[in-house]
Amino acid sequence: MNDLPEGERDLAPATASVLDALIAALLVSAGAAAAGAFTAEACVRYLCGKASLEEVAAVRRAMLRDAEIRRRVRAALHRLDDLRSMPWAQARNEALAEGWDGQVAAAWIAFSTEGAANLAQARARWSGEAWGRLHEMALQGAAEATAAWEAFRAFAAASVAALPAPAPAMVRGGAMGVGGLPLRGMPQGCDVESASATVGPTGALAIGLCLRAGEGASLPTSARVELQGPADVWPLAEPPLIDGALQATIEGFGAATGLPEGPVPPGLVVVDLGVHAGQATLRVALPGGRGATEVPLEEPPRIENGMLRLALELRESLLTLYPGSRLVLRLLGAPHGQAIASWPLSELGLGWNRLSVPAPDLGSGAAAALTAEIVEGTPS
Amino acid sequence: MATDLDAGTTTRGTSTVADLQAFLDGERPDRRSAFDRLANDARRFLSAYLRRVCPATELLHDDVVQEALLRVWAARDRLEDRGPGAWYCLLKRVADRCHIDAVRTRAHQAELQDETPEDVPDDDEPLIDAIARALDTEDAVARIRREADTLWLGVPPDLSDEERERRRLALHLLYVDRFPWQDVVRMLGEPAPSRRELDDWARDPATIRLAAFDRLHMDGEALAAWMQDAARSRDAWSEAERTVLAWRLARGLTLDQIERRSDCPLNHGELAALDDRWRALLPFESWMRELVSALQTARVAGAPAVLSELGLWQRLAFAYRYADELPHRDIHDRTAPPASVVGRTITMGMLNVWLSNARLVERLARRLAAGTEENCHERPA
Repeated sequence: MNDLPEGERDLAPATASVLDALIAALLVSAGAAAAGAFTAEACVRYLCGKASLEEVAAVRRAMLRDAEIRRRVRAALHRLDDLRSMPWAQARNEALAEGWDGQVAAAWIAFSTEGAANLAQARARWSGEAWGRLHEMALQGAAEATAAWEAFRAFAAASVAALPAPAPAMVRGGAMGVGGLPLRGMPQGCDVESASATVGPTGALAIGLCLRAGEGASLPTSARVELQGPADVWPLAEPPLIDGALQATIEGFGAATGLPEGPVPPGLVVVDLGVHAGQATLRVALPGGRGATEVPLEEPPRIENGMLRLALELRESLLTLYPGSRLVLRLLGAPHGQAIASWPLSELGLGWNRLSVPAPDLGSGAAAALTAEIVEGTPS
Repeated sequence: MATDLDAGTTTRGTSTVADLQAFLDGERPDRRSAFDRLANDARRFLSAYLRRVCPATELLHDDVVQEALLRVWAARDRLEDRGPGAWYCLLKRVADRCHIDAVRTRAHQAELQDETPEDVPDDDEPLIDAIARALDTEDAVARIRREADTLWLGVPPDLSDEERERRRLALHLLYVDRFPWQDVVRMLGEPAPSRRELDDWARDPATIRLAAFDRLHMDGEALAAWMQDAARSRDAWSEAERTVLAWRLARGLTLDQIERRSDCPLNHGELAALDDRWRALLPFESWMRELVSALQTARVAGAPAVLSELGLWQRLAFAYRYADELPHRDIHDRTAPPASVVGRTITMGMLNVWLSNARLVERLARRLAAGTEENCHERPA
């Protein structure tokens, strides 16, 4: 590598000139490697792992070229951490500021809002279409179906990558069903007779559950089958329970998740028995990896004229178990989401609470992109 | 010939080998379109060739290239397909004759070369053929850059372009900017490296040489832009000086070429003074000092020794000569001062040895040719 080799015969000058021209003709006409523009939008998408290949190349090359760009990217990294946790209305105001911080905030608001809107739309699509039909439409290249299918595939990939996740069996009030199918919201006095979640030879997911009621206990009549993600769940189906028995088939599940034929890894698919047909709920993640609980809503949350309105019912157990904590509403759809608003539990009352906060207009199905969590302590 | 050989905009859709087959087969209906594509490549090749062997007759080059292509087209039915190596040797031969004719016709006898141009010896044609075939791919430029990085900087040949970028970036972020490693991991993007990997990457001699090459190789446009900015904090350039700087750095014109222009706004003395002034501002030496200092602060053992190895300076000489077409003196100005920071002396004599008679290119070409042969051997019989 260090020096020219000794003893190699010199090329004839004519040969040398042809070689020279061959290489120069290629390199001169190629010029420098093309680099796209470095923008706040590209930078935000890059830091969120959602940039296109061209954007990744543009951001990396800009960083290699210029120390000032590297400082800006680092500043954006920390800015995003701040923005994600501040109320949405405040983050939106930050986007009005001048300079790099304002540009990053504006890019983040646009990116996270678009992600939430897409997610809401995709989930609405999933709940409105049969699985097999949606898969078929996606294979045929229908744009909305493809987007919905890809959104689910991305969620499923993150879910599978996060395995082994904290088993929802650890959820308060939960139980690990037979066959590694965790059950949430099991009514008192009921037992599991059998439970299974298996990917069949055609790639369809077959869920089978049979419950038995003890004396004086009543069997649930509805349930929701969910795919458990790292920080959220994706509703798969809401089959009825007839005399404690549930049977559900989800076509195309193997293709979407990449799971092979056989039992589904424990904890990946969850059955929530605390869901009542027709009852709107908000899933609230509990602190310290203690799982989640469903909080009843008067009606599905809606965003109108830039205001999110929801009425939720808080039970005494939640208020007494987590004193000094906050209820935080977040928008999904972008990595780590975006806070909408938070309320100290101490300021919320027992029973129905009507909340109204500024939020981005997401169109129909906004509820699907909404999540909530109980966070210990007060904001720093 | 009724066709317009000046078009020059045909997009290559096939390889030189395939186009040669189509062009030299009189029965093929796509003979003409194959020649158009060959002519585009040939134009670039012959222009580069003429710039090197007869720079004094630069004004004749376009006509020479055009005439050479017309003669090749006229002789199409007498040519046979002996592969791309023979094709480039033929182009050279025809261009040599056209050049002599053009010089005689235009009464530039004084500029005629003393000797009749030599043909490529038959023994060397297989080498040219192997290289031409190796470069007959869509990603030929990327391949040349990768092979050059491997040959002179010691970069593992199987490292992807993206990984090369990530490693260079890791070094900059960790050692030059001194950002916390947790931030660096997030700034590098997926897949996230561990802290150990980060350190291994940034301390690797190949990464250090890549980072130095990156810093010290600046194309003309970037350097012209840098010069305009650099002068803002010192003496601002006049409008005339800005114009000349753009010609000199961004468009790569020599002082002689600039002085011959009818619209040149500076006289001979002013041009020479400007040339001295921008050369004194070249940033490469101070950038090298910053890099060495950053590596020493990060306690990267032996960094100056790694950077003083000849490979780095040969890689730079290669890039400046073949991608930027700089004259030896300009290459010397960009390499000798930073090399001196790490105790390496680069002389004009060394550059002449490396760059004259295609010594660097020959090494790269032999490597490319060997790679092609290896690939051929890997193919099932």
